[in-house]
Amino acid sequence: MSIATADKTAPATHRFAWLRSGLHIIGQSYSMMFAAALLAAVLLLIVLVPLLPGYDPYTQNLAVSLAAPFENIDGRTYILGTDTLGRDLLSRAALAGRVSLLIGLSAVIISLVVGVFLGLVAGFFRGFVESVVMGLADLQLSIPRVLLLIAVAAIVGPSVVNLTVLLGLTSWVVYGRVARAMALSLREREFVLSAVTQGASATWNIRKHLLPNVLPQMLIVGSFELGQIIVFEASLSYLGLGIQPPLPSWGMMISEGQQYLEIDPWIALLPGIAIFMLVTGVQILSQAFTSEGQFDLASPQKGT
Amino acid sequence: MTETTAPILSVRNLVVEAVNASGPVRIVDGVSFDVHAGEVFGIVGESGSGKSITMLAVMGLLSGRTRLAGGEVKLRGKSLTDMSREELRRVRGRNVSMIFQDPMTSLNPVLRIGNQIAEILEIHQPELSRAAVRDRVIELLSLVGVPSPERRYRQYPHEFSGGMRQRAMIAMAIANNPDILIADEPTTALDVTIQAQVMELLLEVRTRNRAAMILITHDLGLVAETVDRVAVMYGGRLMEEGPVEEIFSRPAHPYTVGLMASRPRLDAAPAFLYSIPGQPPSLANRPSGCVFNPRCALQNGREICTTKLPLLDSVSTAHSAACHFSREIDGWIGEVVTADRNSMREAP
Repeated sequence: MSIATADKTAPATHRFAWLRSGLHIIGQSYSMMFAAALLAAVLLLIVLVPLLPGYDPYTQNLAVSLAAPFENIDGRTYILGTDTLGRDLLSRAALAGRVSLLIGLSAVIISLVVGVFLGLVAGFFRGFVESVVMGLADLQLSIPRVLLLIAVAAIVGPSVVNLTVLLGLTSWVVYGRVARAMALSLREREFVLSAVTQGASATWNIRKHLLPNVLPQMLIVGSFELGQIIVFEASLSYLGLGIQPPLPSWGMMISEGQQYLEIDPWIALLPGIAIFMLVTGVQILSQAFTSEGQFDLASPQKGT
Repeated sequence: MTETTAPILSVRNLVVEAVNASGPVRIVDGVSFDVHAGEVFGIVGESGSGKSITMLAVMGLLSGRTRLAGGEVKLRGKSLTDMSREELRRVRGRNVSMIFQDPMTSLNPVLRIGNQIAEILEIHQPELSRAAVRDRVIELLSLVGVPSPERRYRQYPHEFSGGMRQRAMIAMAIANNPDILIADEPTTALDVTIQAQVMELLLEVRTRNRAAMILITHDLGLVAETVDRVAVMYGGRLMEEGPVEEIFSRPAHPYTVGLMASRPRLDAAPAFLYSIPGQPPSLANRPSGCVFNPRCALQNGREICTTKLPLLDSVSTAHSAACHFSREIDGWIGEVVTADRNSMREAP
């Protein structure tokens, strides 16, 4: 008995161990540090600015319209300048960021849930269910996503909820395909057979044995998708099919600003820079979660 | 003897077919056996002889290209083969449970050991509270000799050694006090030093739970040590069945004789290791008559072996063999093996 009891070091049980190891990995590469800095800057902007007094994103003041960044008018400095209606761009960009991030995260969650569910069911049961699900996926892939989004958004009408659900429902295919592929190999694994011999039903197996095995990979896919979705949302808002005024959105701010590109390029540039910072930050950091990034969510001793 | 009681598990004329491009192939053909309460029943045979697939068929787990083509399986008098999927699911893990060969792959790598053992309790006894399940799992872990079970409960399979994992699998298998444990080569994937421990544990928990056990193996030594009755399988058919002492001392089938003779012996140099000539038959074109006839030395060109399928026929009260000439075996055994040794000796 003593032979088999040799104790291996238990994984760090400290509650913030994951944070420490995450920071450690970021600290090892300049690109990670760069990405983390970008993301931190955007998050600070989004979280802090709306808390400041006097920075209301809706207050119009035509007297100060089209102020340049750091321009001081009547004793007040407009750090990022103002738009045509004299609204403070800093606070508008911050609110727009909140909206974008909220929509992006919700859409990722919706598509992840739908995609993982359909993918696992297809991969586990195979046969007819698989043909239907994968047929649906191929069908959707055959239609360009932006075109589909524009068409549907035009029909159901633009609103934050519609936009979120729409973005979510049109992005499930990636998760569905990866989940199905993984389910195909997982269902043949012996621990699934072992669970079946113990009386586990198909639902039980999918929930207890397949899901925990695919979830880390799905979160990685999700972190890549987040950037994509934010860009999609911006494009739709740019086209006027997304967020509706007076609620600001980065995409809409760009479309408003493009008319003034020659007089005041900052109006369009600033939200563009914000999108770039957020998406780049998310994309680069999400690589930390893949196996190359050493912070491998897929292996339990590092991920949890 | 246990013969007087009704068998716990009774398998009759089990036929399993595998469907391939050229049509169905019988991979298990007319297998019948009984397992009685508290007994250890061994099934031996070389790879591909249909041992494991027979057990999967018993549990109603044939899928994909294999299907049950005939026969009946009864557990405590209730027919498993007639049961609905849902009824069958409830039997698995509660009345019959299975231990697999490789504990490395039969545990889910991303779930904690404790939660995995808890699963089988949650499936079959959903009324148990979380705390009760937890207590039972810790009890099971200490029962199978896993030290500091509270800590081990929270660990992942990769933090367990092979032997410890197989202990965890055993804990799972006995969690619901099943009537029958099916152990499919439970020690094959383990270190030799751990094998004995695990086997000992398996027999111990079996005795404690008063469960019958079916041990599938090709380790004849293990069979001799642990099993009460043994069945020998070859080419998807039962060749011989009987009490282990009798099979080992007076085998009544030429295949069994060959198996016994091909064990390394302490009283002979390994160079004299006997081997059965030829290769196991391709099940797609099974030899006519007796499956073993192309490799059988006892046949001696007699026609009946290639024309008539021998059925299991009793040799003594509890011992039966499927050979037309099992009466001739006694005089023949010594002859064959000695002849083979002599031929070996002559070789350079």
